[in-house]
Amino acid sequence: MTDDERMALIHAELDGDLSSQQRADLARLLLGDPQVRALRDELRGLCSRLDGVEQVEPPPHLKDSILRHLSSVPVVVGYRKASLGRWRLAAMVAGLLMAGTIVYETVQGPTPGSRETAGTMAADAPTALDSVAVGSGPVTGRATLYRDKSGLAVGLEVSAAEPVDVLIAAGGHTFRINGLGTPNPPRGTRHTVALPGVAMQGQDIELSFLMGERTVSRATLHAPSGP
Amino acid sequence: MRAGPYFVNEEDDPTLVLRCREGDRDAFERLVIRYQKPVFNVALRMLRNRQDALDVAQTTFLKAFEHLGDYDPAFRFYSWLYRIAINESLNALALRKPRGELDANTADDRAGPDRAAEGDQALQAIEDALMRISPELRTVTVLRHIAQLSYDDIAEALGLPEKTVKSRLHSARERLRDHLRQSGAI
Repeated sequence: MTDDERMALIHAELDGDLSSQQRADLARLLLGDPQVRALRDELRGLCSRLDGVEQVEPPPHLKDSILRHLSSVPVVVGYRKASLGRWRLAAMVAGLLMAGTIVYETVQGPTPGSRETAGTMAADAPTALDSVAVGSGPVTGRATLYRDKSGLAVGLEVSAAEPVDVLIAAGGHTFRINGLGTPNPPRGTRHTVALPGVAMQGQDIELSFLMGERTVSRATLHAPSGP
Repeated sequence: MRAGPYFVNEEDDPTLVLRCREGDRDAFERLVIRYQKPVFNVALRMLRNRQDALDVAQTTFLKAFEHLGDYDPAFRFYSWLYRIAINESLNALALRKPRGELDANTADDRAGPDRAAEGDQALQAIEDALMRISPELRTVTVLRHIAQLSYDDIAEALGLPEKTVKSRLHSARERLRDHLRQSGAI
């Protein structure tokens, strides 16, 4: 294996892009070559430090200054002709999304049959399509993509030392759940978020876990193509 | 402490932008509130100068407001906004060049973000290293690790193929590691 190939494997791991074969290759490399191990540790440390750079709060006067200057900004009234159709479509989708957004929480008790549900998906037995562990940083648990006849939904079972907000980006929509997670949630506690308007198109569904508006963990679910 | 999860159904960006285009300035204020912090932080890490970052953030929003008619809703609004912020940051860097090369020795640290308060050598080492790599590589690094954008978002913001974004980020990481090694930070 060349240096470039070794480096590509390490970066793929950092990017969460490793296939199972690549994961095995990398594991072998790390076991057999201390230099590769050191290199990988350095790059992981670097990424961790970059991710840990604190977000600086802008001064309050920034917003005021921007808004004060708006009156001096020339604005072209009306849309470009080329984007009229898209705007109408976007507005329609946004309207439908707002009207149709059904976000609900399902709390599943420790014993079968003791679940309490809300929302339109409760009556159907959902089919799990994908599931990933959320195991990095201060958030742990599992995210699962479900489908039933009402559509797609994401189930979240998370444990965190402090409340965590979750952003779910799927099919051009973003859903947000605030205040999930406790240090020791009762076993089987699951929060379910319906994804209205999100179709199965072989796309990735990106989950970002935030604490204090800072991303502390990520996960990706894959929605297979289907009817 | 919050009692439990609650769900937010805020107006999404396309709705707010649409309202802006209809002359609703409150909607634009909502977008400013939503994005001022990430835009400011991107500019801050690109420029390493608080005042310049404030100027870039302000210009970014004013340009966005002025050109809302050009915004194509097929793209994510924040990608478009970051694109403006990056371009403005690169312009600011270009204007700085006559004063000196953009390396750690000459990078303007009048306002290395709250340096005195932070007193954080690790952060300073990272900032030094960031200023030593090319603006092109810094851009992808900042968008990925500071703004926490996905590769897809970065590709959209920069108008580049995702593969190119990854390739640049990989180069950036290796250069950053080299600089941190040279400075003894790792």
